[in-house]
Amino acid sequence: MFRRDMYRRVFFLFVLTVVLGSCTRHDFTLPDEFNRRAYILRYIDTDSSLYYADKAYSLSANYPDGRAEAIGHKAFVLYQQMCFTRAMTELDRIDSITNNQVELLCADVLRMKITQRTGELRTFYRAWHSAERRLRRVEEEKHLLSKHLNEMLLYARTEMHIIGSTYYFYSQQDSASRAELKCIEQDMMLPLDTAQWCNYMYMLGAGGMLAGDSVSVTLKEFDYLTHALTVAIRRKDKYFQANSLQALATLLEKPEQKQILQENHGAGIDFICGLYSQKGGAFCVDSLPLTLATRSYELFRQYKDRFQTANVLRTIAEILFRQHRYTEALAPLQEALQMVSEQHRLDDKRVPYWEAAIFERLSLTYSALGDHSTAMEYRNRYLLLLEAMRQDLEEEARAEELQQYSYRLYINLFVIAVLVFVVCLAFRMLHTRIRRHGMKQDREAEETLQLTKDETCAREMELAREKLSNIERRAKVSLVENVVPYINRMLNTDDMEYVAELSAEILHINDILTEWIQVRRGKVAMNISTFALQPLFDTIARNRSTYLQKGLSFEVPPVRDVSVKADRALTLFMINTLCDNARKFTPSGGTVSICVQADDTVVEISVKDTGIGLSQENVDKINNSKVFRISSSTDENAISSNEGGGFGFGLMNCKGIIGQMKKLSSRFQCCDFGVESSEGQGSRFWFRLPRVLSVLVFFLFATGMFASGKYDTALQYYERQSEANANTDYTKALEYGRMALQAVPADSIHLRMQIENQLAITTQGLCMWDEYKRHNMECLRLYRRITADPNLPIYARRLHMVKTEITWSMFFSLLLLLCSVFFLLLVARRSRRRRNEVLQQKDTYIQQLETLNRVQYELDRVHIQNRILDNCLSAIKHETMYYPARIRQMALDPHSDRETLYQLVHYYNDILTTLLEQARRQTQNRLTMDGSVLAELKRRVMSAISNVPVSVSVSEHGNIQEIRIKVIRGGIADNLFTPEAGNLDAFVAREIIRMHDAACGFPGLRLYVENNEIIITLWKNSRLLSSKTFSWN
Amino acid sequence: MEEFKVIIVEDVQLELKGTEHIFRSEIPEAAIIGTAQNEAELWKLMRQDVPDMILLDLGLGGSTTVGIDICRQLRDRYTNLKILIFTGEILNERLWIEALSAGADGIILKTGNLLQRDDVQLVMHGRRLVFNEPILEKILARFRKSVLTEVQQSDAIIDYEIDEYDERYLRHLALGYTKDMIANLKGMPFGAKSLEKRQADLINRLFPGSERTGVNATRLVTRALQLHIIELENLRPDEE
Repeated sequence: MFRRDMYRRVFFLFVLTVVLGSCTRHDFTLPDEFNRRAYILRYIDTDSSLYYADKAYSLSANYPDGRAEAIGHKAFVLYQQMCFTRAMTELDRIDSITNNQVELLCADVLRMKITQRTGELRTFYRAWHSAERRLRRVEEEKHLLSKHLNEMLLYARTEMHIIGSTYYFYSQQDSASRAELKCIEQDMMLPLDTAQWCNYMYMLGAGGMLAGDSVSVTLKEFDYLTHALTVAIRRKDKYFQANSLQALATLLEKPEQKQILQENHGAGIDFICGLYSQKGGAFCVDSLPLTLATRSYELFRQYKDRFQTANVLRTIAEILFRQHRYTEALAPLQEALQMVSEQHRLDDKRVPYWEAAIFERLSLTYSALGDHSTAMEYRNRYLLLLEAMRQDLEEEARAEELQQYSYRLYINLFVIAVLVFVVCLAFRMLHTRIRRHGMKQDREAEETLQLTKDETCAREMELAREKLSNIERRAKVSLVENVVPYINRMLNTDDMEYVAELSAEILHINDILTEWIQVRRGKVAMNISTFALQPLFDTIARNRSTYLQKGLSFEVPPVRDVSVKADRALTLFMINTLCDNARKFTPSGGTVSICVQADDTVVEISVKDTGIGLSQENVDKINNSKVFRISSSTDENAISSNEGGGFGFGLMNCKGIIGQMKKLSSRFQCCDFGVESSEGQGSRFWFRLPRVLSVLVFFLFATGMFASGKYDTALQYYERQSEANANTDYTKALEYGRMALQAVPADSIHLRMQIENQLAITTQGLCMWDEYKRHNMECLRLYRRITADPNLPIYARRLHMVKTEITWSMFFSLLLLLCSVFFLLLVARRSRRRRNEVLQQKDTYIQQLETLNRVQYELDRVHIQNRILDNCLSAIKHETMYYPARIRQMALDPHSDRETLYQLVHYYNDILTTLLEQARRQTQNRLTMDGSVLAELKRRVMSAISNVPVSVSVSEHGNIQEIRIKVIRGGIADNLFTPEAGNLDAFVAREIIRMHDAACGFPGLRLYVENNEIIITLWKNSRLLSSKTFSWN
Repeated sequence: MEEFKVIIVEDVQLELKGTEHIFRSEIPEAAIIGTAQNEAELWKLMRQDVPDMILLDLGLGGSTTVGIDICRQLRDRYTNLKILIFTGEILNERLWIEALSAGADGIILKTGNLLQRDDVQLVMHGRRLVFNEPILEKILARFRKSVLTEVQQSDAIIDYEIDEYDERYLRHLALGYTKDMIANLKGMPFGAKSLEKRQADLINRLFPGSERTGVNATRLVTRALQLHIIELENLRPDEE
């Protein structure tokens, strides 16, 4: 007991000695005094402030608090000079020097200031929370603090709230911002610290802090600023004087606020005028903003604050800009730019929003001066800075997300630990279910595959049928070709008897043709179905590049809810033909557009162009006759040689197809085809199809389509808008932009922001400054909304908690890992196997789909070919029926006029040549040979000899295979395979041999009759014969 | 023209009649020693008497091209025989080439002026490659096209100021060479960097201002082909 008392006494004495000793040896009043001066001078003159801070520092070698305070002042000056990195290093030193919470609080507040300026939000929050924590602790023991420390505390508290208010103001949380200022209202009742008081008044007056109607707000703001100004003048405080002046300049510069002040507060304005302007009256008010800003500039310059100097330079530029003195506005901006580069030299840390504002102003000014390229350059730099700021934020947000995740992990781990047991138990159950589900999926996939396969199979059969009927048509065409030499003979002889003979032969061929065509009649050759036009138009629109290459614009309208009843492939063919024609005959710079007009029963599809047009004669030809050839003598220069010619065939085909459709049933009576055109003005070709109203389908999908449709439309407009902007076609861009803005759905913020951005560029280009401001603000607002990161403040609070919990998390994670690995291994093995299966299924399915697509494509092609051939053949039949008969009549009549006869022959020749040329175009491309064609050859040959019993022998000579077919009873006509026999089957067989010949590249294959034997030679190595599906026996 | 013997091979009776008429009225020197409507008849006639000339239709009976095979066999067996093709295959250009390589002395299309005395005379005098006007027109059109292509190329080279290196660069680019590979070609004084510059320069020359953006190597080569600065037929690499 005694010993303990003794120790206590000795210890007490020791402490007393130490304390007294240090007091006697050092006098702390001097450093404190210097620090006080440094503080007072910080807004008046940075050099003097630095001088006193240095002095205080050197005098307080054994006085850590004084030293820390001096460092704080020094850091503040560095901050004002924009040497942020150095300022931060200085501040970090304070932590190691002192433990005084007030000093540390001041350091934290300064850190907040610095990081707010450099935009390092994470450090900012950390400093803010640390400051708040310290403040709470210090306030509890406020009564123990010295007067000097109390003053510092007052400064730190007010400064912290002002910074907080600024932060909320810039992140557009006005109420929070006001609340922060409200916190220090009490402190500011008595202006104990005049510098902070000025700061407070300036904050209130600088805008956005007051609520109420515009008149009272403006008057109050003006008053606050004038107060701040007068006090600052009294204090000789350059910084706040300049700040207030700048804010006043901005206030007075706005016309409506100027008016409010002039009407309600003439005295106040007069006071300011009296202070800064020699001139009086209205002129003074007009030139006042500029005068004030210039004065502010001088003050900042003296005070050596680059940041604010550049800002006020920007304000000057803005004022000049608003007065349309664009060239003058450039100079201050250039100076500001110089400040920016100076700052870059001084410090690695940037002030992005500061630079961004200057860039934006530069961009606008250049725009106003008409220098769009420089303007765009600065706008790009402005946006780049914004983007960089956003990326910083995002990175921080990511890091934060990661941290938060680990924190959540800690909580979740407990849950998971329990869950793992449950899952393990459930595993077996689940596993069986998965297997069952997999089996179900397999079954479904199998079914889909089977469906596609069936579909392909059906299409393939259809294709085979179409192919065979194509061969038949080719045979008919080659029959007609037999007429050509006869006509040539007619033209080259004057022997009337011979002419009569020839025409008789032609008549005979025509008869055969008529007979053959009649055989086929009664079969509906069209694949009529109901389909929507949109997919067709999408296909057509894919060709856009060919139009662009020719310098044409190609417009395909959206037709969401129009369906027609027709042949899909043929409709596509017709639209394509008309568009191709339009493209060929429209010179560069023109437009080709598709239009759709629909009423309840009919859809009219038309292709309009601004091309060379057609003469009235040609229009009449197209509208009234069945066979026509367009004489394109109008403007041959406009048509390049490789694209010209052939005009007319496509139209003839379209007209023919529509004619064929019309004949199908009464439903298609509305079908029609026509042209309107005037030479040099362009043409409009149209055709009509019956419409099908797809009401039910439409309602089902209406809402979904509507939403996505709106987005698509907006996107389309946006794309056009940006394209127009890129081409500096601002009026067009404005139009598209407005349309896009109307169309864009409320929830697609991203697109909306992009549109607003483009609109800002457009309005900037058009020098519509108010509009620009609105769009740019909206763009930035959306931008902030997109990039806003609400988690950031929470993060700072939680960070340190996470650190301790992470160890626990690790432990649990390991435990869980072991459990999960086992589980995962099992699942992985299963799923890998399963995935392979699914992939394989998918592969097969895709292959099958591709096959289907290919078959569909070929089918469409052959189908179109067949319809066109039908069209040609029926035209040949109709159009040429009369002439041979008439020629024969005239040739046999000795009194007839020779000249008329030859004219007739010439005319007949022309028509036939035209039609044949068109038919030949269709038969030019080869059909792929396959087993079915050979089967058809056999079928046709046998059918040609009426399927009588035969004996067949096959022999081989080199690459040639010879097939001899002998009829057991009866005989075979020698001319079976010639036109005279008029045997369609034989003729088709002949056509197959001809095609086979062309496909093998070996001319000289035979199909003929000799001694009652049909002899066929085939090329052995062709694909045709390697087919395993067929043999002659 | 001296007298000569001829066999006409024609499967269509009516046409045969017209052809015989032409011979009788315009070429009296010709003695028609036989007419054949199919292959078998022809060989039978040939065994009896070998003519000086055969007028051969390409399409007989079941085949439209069997004449080519017959022509080849005739040429193999009778070296001095004149073979004149008389055909209605007015579009099948490939068949003409086949006929000529099978040894035909000339081709007369059954269109326009048909068979004329002059053509037959030329063949009998030993002239090869005798064609009537319609086929000559076709040949000339092809010839004109190929000449024009060459002219276009030389014009393009002048218009777009294409020098030897530009041409070589474009040609090798079209062949799929990379810039580095082109830089390593023999006698190519430019490095990959300079080639890059030259490419930018070429783009400026070959494309109008509005189309320059986004032009890559493929587009450039396509443009060069369109302008006939390089030709598909001449796409061969330099020796390395």
